[in-house]
Amino acid sequence: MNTRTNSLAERLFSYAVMLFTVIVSTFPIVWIVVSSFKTNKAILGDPFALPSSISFKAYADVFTQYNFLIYFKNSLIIATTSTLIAVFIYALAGYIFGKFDFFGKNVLFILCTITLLVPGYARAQPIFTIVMKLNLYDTKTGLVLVYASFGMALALFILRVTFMSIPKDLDEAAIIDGAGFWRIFWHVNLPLAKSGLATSGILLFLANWNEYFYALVLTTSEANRTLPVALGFFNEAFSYNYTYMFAALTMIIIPGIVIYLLVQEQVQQSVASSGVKG
Amino acid sequence: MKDKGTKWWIAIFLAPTLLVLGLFYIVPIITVFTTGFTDWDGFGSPAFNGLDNYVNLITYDNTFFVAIRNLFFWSLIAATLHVGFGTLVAFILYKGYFGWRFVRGVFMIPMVISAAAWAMIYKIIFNDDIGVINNLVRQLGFSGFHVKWFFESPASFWAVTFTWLFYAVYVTLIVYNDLMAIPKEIHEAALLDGAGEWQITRYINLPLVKNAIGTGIILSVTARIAGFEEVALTSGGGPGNETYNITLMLYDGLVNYEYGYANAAATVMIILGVSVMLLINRVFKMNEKVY
Amino acid sequence: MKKEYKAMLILFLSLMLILTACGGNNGASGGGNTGNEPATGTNGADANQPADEAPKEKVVLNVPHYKAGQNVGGKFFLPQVERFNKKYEGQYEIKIEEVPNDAYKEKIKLLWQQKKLPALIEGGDTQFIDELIAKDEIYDLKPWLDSKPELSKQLIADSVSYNTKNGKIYTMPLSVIRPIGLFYNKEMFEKAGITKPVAQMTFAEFEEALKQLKAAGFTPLSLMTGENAWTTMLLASAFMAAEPGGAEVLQSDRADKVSDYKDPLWIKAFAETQKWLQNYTTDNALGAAYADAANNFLNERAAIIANGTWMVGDFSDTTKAPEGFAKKVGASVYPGGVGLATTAEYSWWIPKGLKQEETEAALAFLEFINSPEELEAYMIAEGGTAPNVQQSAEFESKLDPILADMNRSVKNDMKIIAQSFGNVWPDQIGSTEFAQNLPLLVKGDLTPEKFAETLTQKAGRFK
Repeated sequence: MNTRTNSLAERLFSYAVMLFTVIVSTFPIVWIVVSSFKTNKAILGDPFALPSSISFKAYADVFTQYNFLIYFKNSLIIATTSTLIAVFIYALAGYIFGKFDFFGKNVLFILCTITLLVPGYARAQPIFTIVMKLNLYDTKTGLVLVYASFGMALALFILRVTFMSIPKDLDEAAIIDGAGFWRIFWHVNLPLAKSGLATSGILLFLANWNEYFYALVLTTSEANRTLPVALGFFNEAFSYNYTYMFAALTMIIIPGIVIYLLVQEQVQQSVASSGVKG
Repeated sequence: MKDKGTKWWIAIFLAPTLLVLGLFYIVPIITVFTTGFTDWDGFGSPAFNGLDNYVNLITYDNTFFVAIRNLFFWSLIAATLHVGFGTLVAFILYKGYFGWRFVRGVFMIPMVISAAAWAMIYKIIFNDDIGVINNLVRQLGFSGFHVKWFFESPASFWAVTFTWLFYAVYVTLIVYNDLMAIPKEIHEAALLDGAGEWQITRYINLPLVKNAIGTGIILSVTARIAGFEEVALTSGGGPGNETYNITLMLYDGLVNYEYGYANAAATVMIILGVSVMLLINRVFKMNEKVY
Repeated sequence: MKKEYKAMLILFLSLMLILTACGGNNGASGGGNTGNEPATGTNGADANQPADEAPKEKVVLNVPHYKAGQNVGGKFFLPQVERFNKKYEGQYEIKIEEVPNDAYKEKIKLLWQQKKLPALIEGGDTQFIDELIAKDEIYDLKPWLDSKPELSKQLIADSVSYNTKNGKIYTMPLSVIRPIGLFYNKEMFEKAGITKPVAQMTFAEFEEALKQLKAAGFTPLSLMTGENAWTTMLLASAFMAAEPGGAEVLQSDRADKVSDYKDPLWIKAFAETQKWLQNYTTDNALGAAYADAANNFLNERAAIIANGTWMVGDFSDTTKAPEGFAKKVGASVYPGGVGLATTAEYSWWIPKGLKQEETEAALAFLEFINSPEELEAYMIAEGGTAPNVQQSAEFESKLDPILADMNRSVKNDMKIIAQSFGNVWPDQIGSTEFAQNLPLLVKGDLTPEKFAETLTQKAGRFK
């Protein structure tokens, strides 16, 4: 970003922070992956030692016992679709909250953000009722709808700020050119909000990718099962099997990270290529 | 520019969000607020009991006081150190040092790890016997160091804090996002005026991303207010009730089929959260445009 | 750039379309709800369902259950369901939908609210079932049981009386009891010179044995304070049951909860717990989860663990224990001849309002799992004894030696059968407060009296 040379001290400090960030972020995942190759007694007895031998038996077993490919496909479809829907509808609302005034705006915004604080158990029963009434129990569509509702507060927070920081002169110029409301939103504001859309999209996607409770409650059949539900099966207190649990966990985390990195790369490229900044 | 057409558009743009709000949130919100005043087991019919749940929640023993005290300090730490760290990383990423993309990618990884696994990892890290922290400290010469992190009085607060302290990637992303949106001309003008690197960061970039920082604070503090797993799965609120927070009190209600009590706790939680949002909004003047 | 957005919009819309299409397809395949599946091939949702050749309709029950997959119970339960399906081939079929253990009760509650309960449910929250009983929403098993004298006579009387409410039997009484005792490392006992069988010791003698073990260089007890402090809680329960008057407080058919622990009986049990935790357990007991406690015993870092017979499989699991470990393990009831079990528990039940043939299928399943052969298979797999069922000649020989050990101990030495604390405490005390306050007890921040007071106060909040 900056061509000027920075002082050595600043560079050192910056690299130290970056290194620290990498360590605290990768340590847990590395530990999980390494542990998935160890026996239960080794995990519990000497948790930071390296595995004595590399065996993919746990992976093979987990993979043959459960249809991870189906779950992976389901997770991908559900998390992606719900994220796209969520980002779209909250972008519409975020645009209004960021750029327009109307009666009751603040109250409405607070109401929307309260959703962050409504405890999960209180939502379980009403959501279950709605999904049943819409005849969407045990369908991917049901989960997509519910997930789209989750990110409301987070997405609105991010997108409101994003749209707020897009200068109004651009809108006014567009009005003079005779552009309508939709055109101003779609062709002027949305392209400039790309990175905000991407940020909220990524955060929502990862949250959906990991969601466990509703996936469990709202689906029953194997055909609609997602990865975190499968992980739930390995989290049994009395028959603890950490090797399998970590193998299953690895199979959930790694695709999540890969998808995220791919999307991130795409998004950054498109943000960079659009080239317009404020 | 606000004519009748615009009003319609505003309504249309808000409609899907309102629909989601109505379908998925209004009923729970109303249930929480109203049944907080009832004796309700979660499946039978609720019976009005006035402020009983609130009295029980707040005055029965010192747990509520402890929970609020913890919440206060955790919120403070979240708003300062946690958000501060996230912001710092964003500013460093913005400089574009070698490997910044990698750091940004890697920072996101903890978001994909489930809470149960997370708690287990941290319990092992802080384990006295085999954990890295204590062994490291003992290696450094303090051979008598045997703090039982999650299970001893002042330590457990900090052990719980460490499970989330450095994981501020969402703050980093939001702030970074805002940094990227700063028009180049502003920097060029400042450079022409002879401003140095530090001055640009301090007097131009920082104020321009205040909305992002404010958002980060709101998100991180509400995460502390509504946070459950990071405590429940590590210290369990203990030793005693040392690391309790409101959600654990709420959970006690659920375990005992006291949904009225739980919802009273939830109401307190929502009110606290909204107050924090309003306060931050005011302090950071977040409704005002920055440019 | 414009194109990109158009493309995104199109993608978005097409995804929506696909989704609605998907939703329409299998939208109605609802629920744990049961239905007759006519074997017409038009709906593709369940592709692997072969066309039914039998002309009469087969009754298919979709039953969500936690005893599947990794669950300890699944190893026996799933093949059992298969045996049932085989026996009633073409007539009944039970399909198990796997639900993680920790979510089963919640799921049942939500399904009830939607009136979509499955035909067979095992257990659930006591309070919830009580409510359903009060509402009379559960199928009364009494007439059916009365018509099956063979089945009725093998049921345990205490369990029948607990499950009988208002003259009806809402939940299936038990035929098998599985008292929880303890496992010990025979090799360590031998080296420490302990010869008296644990079950014949008093708790005072037990402490002497702990001292001997310690003197021989072994950590005696595998205790824990994490999760619900399970192994610690069991041992403390046994201690109290062995005290004069203790068994009455913990009597096995007691259904009401105890929320006052200031009685000297309780305080004495807590003091003993404190002593054990301070002197006779592993370094990592503080905060240890069940897996840690089990691991300590399985890898010979502790000589004794209190636990139920479902643990037996782990002794020969080489990913958890060293090769040949199972041979070193002995099983016994607790000192004082105490076995921990409860008959005050709900097991299988059938909701009201099912179709006639579904109820019949569900009843057929209950009868099946309570047939003498199935009960025996169950006891061979998971332990336990059926006092009113005649065991076959080869039963003993098929039994795992450790389970046989346990059965002998139950038969010869068990003098007291009592419930564990977990059964008589309110959920909050059992699931969190006891465990959470143990670290304070261990450190001496709380005396046993103060500990009892704290728990009493915690239990008082929701009284």
